[in-house]
Amino acid sequence: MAFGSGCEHFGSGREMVASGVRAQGLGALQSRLRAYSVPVIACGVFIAIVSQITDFYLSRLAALIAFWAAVGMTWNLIGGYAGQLSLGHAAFVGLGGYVALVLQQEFGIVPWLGLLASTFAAGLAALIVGAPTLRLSGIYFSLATLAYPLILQVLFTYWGYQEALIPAHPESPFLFMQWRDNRWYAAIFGMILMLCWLATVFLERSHWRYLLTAVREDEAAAAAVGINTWLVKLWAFVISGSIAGMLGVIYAQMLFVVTPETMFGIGVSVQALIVNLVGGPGYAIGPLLGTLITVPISQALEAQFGSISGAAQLVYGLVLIVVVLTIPHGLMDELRRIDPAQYPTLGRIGSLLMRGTTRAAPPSVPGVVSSPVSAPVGKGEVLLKADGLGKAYGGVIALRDFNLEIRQHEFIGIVGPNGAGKTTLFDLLSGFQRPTSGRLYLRGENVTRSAPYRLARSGVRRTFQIPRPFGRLTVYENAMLGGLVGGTEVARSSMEEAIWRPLRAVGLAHLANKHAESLGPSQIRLLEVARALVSRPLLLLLDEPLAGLDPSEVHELIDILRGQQAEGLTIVLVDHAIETVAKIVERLVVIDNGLLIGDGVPAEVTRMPRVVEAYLGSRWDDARR
Amino acid sequence: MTAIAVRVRCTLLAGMTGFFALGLSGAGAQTTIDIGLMGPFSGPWAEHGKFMRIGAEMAVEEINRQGGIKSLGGAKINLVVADTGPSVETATNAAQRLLSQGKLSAFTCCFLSSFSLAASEISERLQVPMLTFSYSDVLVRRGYKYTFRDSSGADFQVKAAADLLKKEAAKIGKTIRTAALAGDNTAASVDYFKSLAEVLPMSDIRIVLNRVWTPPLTDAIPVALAIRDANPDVIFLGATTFDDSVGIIRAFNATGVKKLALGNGAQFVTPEFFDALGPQQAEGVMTTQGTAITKDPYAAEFLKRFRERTNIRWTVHDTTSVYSHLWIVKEALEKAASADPKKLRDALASIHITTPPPTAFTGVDIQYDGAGQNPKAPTFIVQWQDGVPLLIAPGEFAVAPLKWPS
Amino acid sequence: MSLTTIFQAIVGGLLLGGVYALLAAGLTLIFGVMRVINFAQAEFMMLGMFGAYFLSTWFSIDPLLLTVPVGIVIGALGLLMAQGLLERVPRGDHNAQLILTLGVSLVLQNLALLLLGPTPRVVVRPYTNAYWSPAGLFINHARLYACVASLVIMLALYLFLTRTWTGRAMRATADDPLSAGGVGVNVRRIHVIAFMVGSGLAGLAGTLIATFNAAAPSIGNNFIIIMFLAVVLGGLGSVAGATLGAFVVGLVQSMSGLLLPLQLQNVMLFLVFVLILLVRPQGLFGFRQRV
Repeated sequence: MAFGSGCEHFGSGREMVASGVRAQGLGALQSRLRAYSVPVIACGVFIAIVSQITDFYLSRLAALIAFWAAVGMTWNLIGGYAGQLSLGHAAFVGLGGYVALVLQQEFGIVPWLGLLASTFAAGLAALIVGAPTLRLSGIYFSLATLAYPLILQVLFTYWGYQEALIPAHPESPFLFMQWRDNRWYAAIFGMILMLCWLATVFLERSHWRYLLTAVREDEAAAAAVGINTWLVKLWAFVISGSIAGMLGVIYAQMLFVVTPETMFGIGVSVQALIVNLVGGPGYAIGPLLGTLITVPISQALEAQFGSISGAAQLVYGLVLIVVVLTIPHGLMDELRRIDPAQYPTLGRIGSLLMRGTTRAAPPSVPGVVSSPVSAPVGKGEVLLKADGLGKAYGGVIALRDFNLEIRQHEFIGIVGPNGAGKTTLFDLLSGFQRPTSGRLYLRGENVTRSAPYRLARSGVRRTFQIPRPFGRLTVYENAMLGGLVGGTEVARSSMEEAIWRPLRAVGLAHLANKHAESLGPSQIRLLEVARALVSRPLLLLLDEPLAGLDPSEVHELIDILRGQQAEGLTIVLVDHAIETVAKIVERLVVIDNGLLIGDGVPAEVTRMPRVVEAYLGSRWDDARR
Repeated sequence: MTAIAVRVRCTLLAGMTGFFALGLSGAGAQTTIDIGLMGPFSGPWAEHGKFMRIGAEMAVEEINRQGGIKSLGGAKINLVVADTGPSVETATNAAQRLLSQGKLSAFTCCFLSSFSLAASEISERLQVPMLTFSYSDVLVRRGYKYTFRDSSGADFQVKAAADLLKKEAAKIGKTIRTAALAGDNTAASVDYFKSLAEVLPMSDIRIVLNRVWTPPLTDAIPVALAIRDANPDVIFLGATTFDDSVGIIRAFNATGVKKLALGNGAQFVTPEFFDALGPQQAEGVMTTQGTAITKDPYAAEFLKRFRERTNIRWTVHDTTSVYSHLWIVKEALEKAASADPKKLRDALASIHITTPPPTAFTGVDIQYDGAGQNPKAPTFIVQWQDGVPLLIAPGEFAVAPLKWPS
Repeated sequence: MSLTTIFQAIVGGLLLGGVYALLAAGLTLIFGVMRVINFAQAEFMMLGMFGAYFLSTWFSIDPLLLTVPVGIVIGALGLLMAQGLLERVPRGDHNAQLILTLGVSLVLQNLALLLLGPTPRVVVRPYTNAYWSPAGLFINHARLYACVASLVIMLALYLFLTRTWTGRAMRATADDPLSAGGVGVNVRRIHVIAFMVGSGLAGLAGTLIATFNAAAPSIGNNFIIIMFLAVVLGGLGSVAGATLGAFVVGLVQSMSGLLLPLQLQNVMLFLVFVLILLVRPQGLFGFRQRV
């Protein structure tokens, strides 16, 4: 099967995951039933227990536990699975509560309709706010999210809602969502919790889990495998926000008196965060576990120390510190790491909690995609063309007027001494940086301003100088992710092949079930290559792949690359070890100080005086003579 | 055994069992009665919570020292304290916990009207009487049977203040025509200003300036300058945090604003307020209070005990209101002869106290109307004069006349 | 709106900005060197305020003279926190570090409440209620002295960062920890020292602020967003940027009090905060960041 011939049709990722499960037959059905039944049964048990509680305080506690667990689950979507630490979740909970309240107070609209309006409003707010904010990474995103609840708090205070009372309708509690008996609230929260849980289970069993994990682990690597990280995060954010808004409506109804501090306060955002932190972000059951631990503890603290100013909050703060120092990734993560041989009971508890939710093994037949070539690639066709590319950072010009045509089936090496601008060039060619001048064409299409994931989906795949594996996924899953995104139809029988082939080619097939983070450095590098190859790319760009490898590893890699090139892959290798590269490639390009100084057959280019001077000065030339 | 002997033994046995049963049922053998105190013991209003607690503790000690609840065999009061926390959720959690887990007969709560409102929802559902001195009139306008307020609320206080000012002004031949409102946007101040906006025009007073800020007010000078430029006859202050209430008075003094300023709440008469400003700057500042030290000798005696206990020279209504709440509850317990909250509620609804201690801080009989409000409760206005906060209104309790700024 | 009103707002904003600068500089220094957002920064300020109050009341010393000693004590506390807690969190786990400082913030606030009580403590000095009135403006002496003292301290900080070996090592570590380690900088030690200096600056700020604001356990909450905004405006990690950012924040705060309804004063701040992050995360002053 030649690369990029366009004859293969691979299916869309989600179809294939599902079909993979179908293909397994009864076993898969059983597993699915088991997974989805856990939340339903748990909800049933919860409601059964709650219906027996007659004490007002305990029934309220049950309602609050269900509420905070559900809020925690919504946070888990963006904060746990997508890995974006949101410190402003209260914005959505509060917005939901207030929108329904305002509709009720000003227009007499019943809370059930208000529920729909609030869910929509919160989702819309998440979209408006998330679209720009999710372009930020890490700490900047977290800081930005701090501001949103604060803005809403000031606004609602300004609009006169300092102290809003839910209009009382004791005559029709169901219509107006106002029950004196907390058990009704507990039941509703329990059901929403169940839905959130089911949704999370669904997520975990679908290809979305992989998309989110990739985004969480390493956004650059995710982009390199074709994932539109911004869109994935945005989906998570919007869904998270809308359900949080829904929960806020019922919360407000239960509290009856609503103040901006109560709905938008940092306490709400922190609580959503804490239940996840303690239980384990990124696990379906994490926030539930966290809530079951933290809410009763804080209530017990209040009961015990509530009369001593500050004592309860003090202990709570101490608990936070202890938790962060001892189980920084949450309880579920700790349980997962436990060696069942050493701690059999804990191991059993751990596997019980993870049963049916977190997959122990990846879907057996994943979705794989080929490079979605609209037209077959002709021999010698120009795949990637750099036309006058240049990059300037402030006053420093890293690359100037770079011209290069990469043709199908070529094996090109781009070399240059350190500081020559290789990294910049590499990033420009793979779309990870935008040029400040010039243009980039992919098969004739102007992709100068395209996001890296687009180039990846169009068949340009890259590796990283410092490898970026998805450490917490297995070797197999890493490879699978290489082909998960993009695509057209496929013949199912070739799907597994598409993953195993590259793994076998790089010699990692026997390590398929090992976690990527446990691999050695050269193996990780090979994994990256395999991951890139799974999607049958048109062009493979390798960023300093030889650095840090010993000679035997270098040989191994070169053999693999040569093998792939023989099958039709176009390869561009960027490195500074000119001697080694010159021996491997068919065409050598040399840059120095941001300028192209040589392009041609390696034997000739290495003898060019300018090239020699660039690397070693004239002494090399003298030494050779 | 003969039939008679058996009958005698049976009777004796029955008698003894009955006697024990009587003892077990607790009739006349109740040992403690739980009364709750809920307030802000952490967060920005913790200061007020502190004063509330002092009042409660002093009352409980005094009640128990005097023999407890006599109609319940000398049962002692046990004060159960809970922090309302920073949000409505924490406040209602505390209320719910106290009321359904504890065996409270009644409780006093919560300083912030939002929390009092929320707690009153719980008290109404769980049928435990709640006493409050919170400002919002909504508390007594919902037809709830378990909420009782023996002090005046927003509307009443504002009317009383407006009347006082007009009367005093007339005495020296002045008329008050214009007013400025400066305060924060917390619920109490918003209520205060809303009532002012309704009442002042009815007394022919025009509002010439309305400055509302979100606390904390970083710089009070611009507000003071705006007031100075507007030149009102009187200023109504709605600052609730410590720094803001001190800051605005400092700014008045700096910019030369020498007008009567009437605040709302205890933050204007705490010792810290005085320490921060000093006698000259504090001079003339007035504030409304729900309860106060009247001319009643009991009040004076209380003040002495308070001074000995805390080394603070005067009280604030956070203390006196809660103190009198506990005594009102005591009287109601005596009347009901039961610790059952429902019976206590009935006793409260029909109570009529004419003697101190409770009357010493309101100056009038304690009696609740159908809505739970004591309609006779006057509004006390206190003014700093020569470094001491003196009661200047209502007339019958005043220890000094209103002093106009020079 | 008269010119005087505008000038009053400008002056008021700048005076406040000067003091905010200390808080912001400390926060940004810690972030620049350690990549840690210290949520407890405002609590160190609060402790500094209490320190100033108690020392000045017991020993009748003016708080302005106490700035350095209190700063050192608070810095020592910061040192304890850095060594005892922060160093135990795996490097690079930003979420964990964030949560840790959040936890410390809760602990410090409530410990203060528990031990010291909620009563606001006021330091009253002759200059607290004194005003200087040039050209119809009203400039509070306490705020003026605080601003001037703050600028002096900032100057000292600048000299420290540029002229001393430790200071330069800090800047090197902030710029490129690997290379800094490579040239012989003990990166761990520098981290701890940076935290010490950063928290010490907060303590210093607290002493100055105590002269015109009351010390209370929850006073820190009023300053958190101000600090963050100043730091973000200037670019995370840039001390000069944070200083300028602090002045901008002070100005924005007071000017928006003039132009918007007073209640919405802070909304302007929050909006600017978000906009800066979205549009120009490297800060208004464009200092290069290595994030």
